[in-house]
Amino acid sequence: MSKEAFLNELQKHLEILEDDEQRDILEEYAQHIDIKMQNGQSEEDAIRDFGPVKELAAEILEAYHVKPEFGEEKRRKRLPVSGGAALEKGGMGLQSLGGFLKEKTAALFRGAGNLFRKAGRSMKNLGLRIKESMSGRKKGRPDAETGGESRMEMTGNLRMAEGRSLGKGISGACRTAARGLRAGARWCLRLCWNFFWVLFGAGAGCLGLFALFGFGTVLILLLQGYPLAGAVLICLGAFLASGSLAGICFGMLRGRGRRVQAAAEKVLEKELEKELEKELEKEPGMDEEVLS
Amino acid sequence: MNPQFKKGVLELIVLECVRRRDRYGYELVEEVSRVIDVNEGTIYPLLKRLTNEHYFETYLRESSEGPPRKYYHLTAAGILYRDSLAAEWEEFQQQVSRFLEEGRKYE
Repeated sequence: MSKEAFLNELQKHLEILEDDEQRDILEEYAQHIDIKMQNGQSEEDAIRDFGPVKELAAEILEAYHVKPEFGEEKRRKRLPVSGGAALEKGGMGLQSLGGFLKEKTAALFRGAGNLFRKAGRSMKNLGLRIKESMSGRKKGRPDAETGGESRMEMTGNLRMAEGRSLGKGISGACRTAARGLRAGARWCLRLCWNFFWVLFGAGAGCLGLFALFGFGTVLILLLQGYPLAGAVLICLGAFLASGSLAGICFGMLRGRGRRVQAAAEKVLEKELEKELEKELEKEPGMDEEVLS
Repeated sequence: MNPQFKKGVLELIVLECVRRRDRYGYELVEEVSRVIDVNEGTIYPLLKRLTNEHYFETYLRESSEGPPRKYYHLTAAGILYRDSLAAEWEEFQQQVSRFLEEGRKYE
């Protein structure tokens, strides 16, 4: 075997090592062979003294605390495969983590959507209530108008109808304005409330993540032998505390939304029923008035 | 000589060689070969390991013949390690000798 062939074969077995290290070792062997040849030995003899390349490579790898079988060509091919398998496994883990996160995020958005829907419903319901009270007032007004009607009977039905439509228009505008104002106020209030809890919860969550990071760092240091048991406990406590705080904050958000929804739905049903009844009562009367 | 014996004391011999004087690879192999008959190839991995464990430092020095040579120098940690190994060896070989001496009675 020539010097080149020997070095090439040795290098193949040492591929697991860093390039610098490989070069270092190969240079030593090359120099050793050179000196031997200078001293009058043949190239073949100089290389034969090293023994089988495989055993030599195994011994070199042993010096690096590497399992010798990783230097063998057949096993070497399996190395990237096992690395790939590990990567795949890690990827699967990440994927499942991603799935979990996605699910949680979807749930969060669903929750937020529900919240907004509930808020919208409660606003609508509020508007209905206002409308109801307004229509109550309106119900009172036609009575007064009918009272005036007897006085103004001479002026004719046309004028009366005009006044009525005007009153109706004003009351309608007032109603819309009041409804808008009330709904806006409620919406703002809810927005502020939710914003406060989201902000507080997010802050607590960030603090929790930070505490978790600190916990990991300190734990590693502790495992390396630093006396940081106290710091580890503090970090763990901080993580758990801020995590549960964040949980409470987001719970406040949702719990309120649910309560509002339940109350809103109940009120909505009542209002609808009342309105329907009133409409039914009112309509025949109005028809009579117009006819008369 | 039993190769397991050689393997055990090779480290001590290499450390002792470098303690006496800084040496480059080939020189070291020759020196060690004077004490025990050992495969030349096995000394380089040992040098590598002892360097990685900071018992040796290396430096390059020009040579009159050929490329610059890498010299090995024993560090303070290396001296301590060599002393502890030498003490272990002394104790070990005394115990073994004593045990073999005892065996004489049975002859």
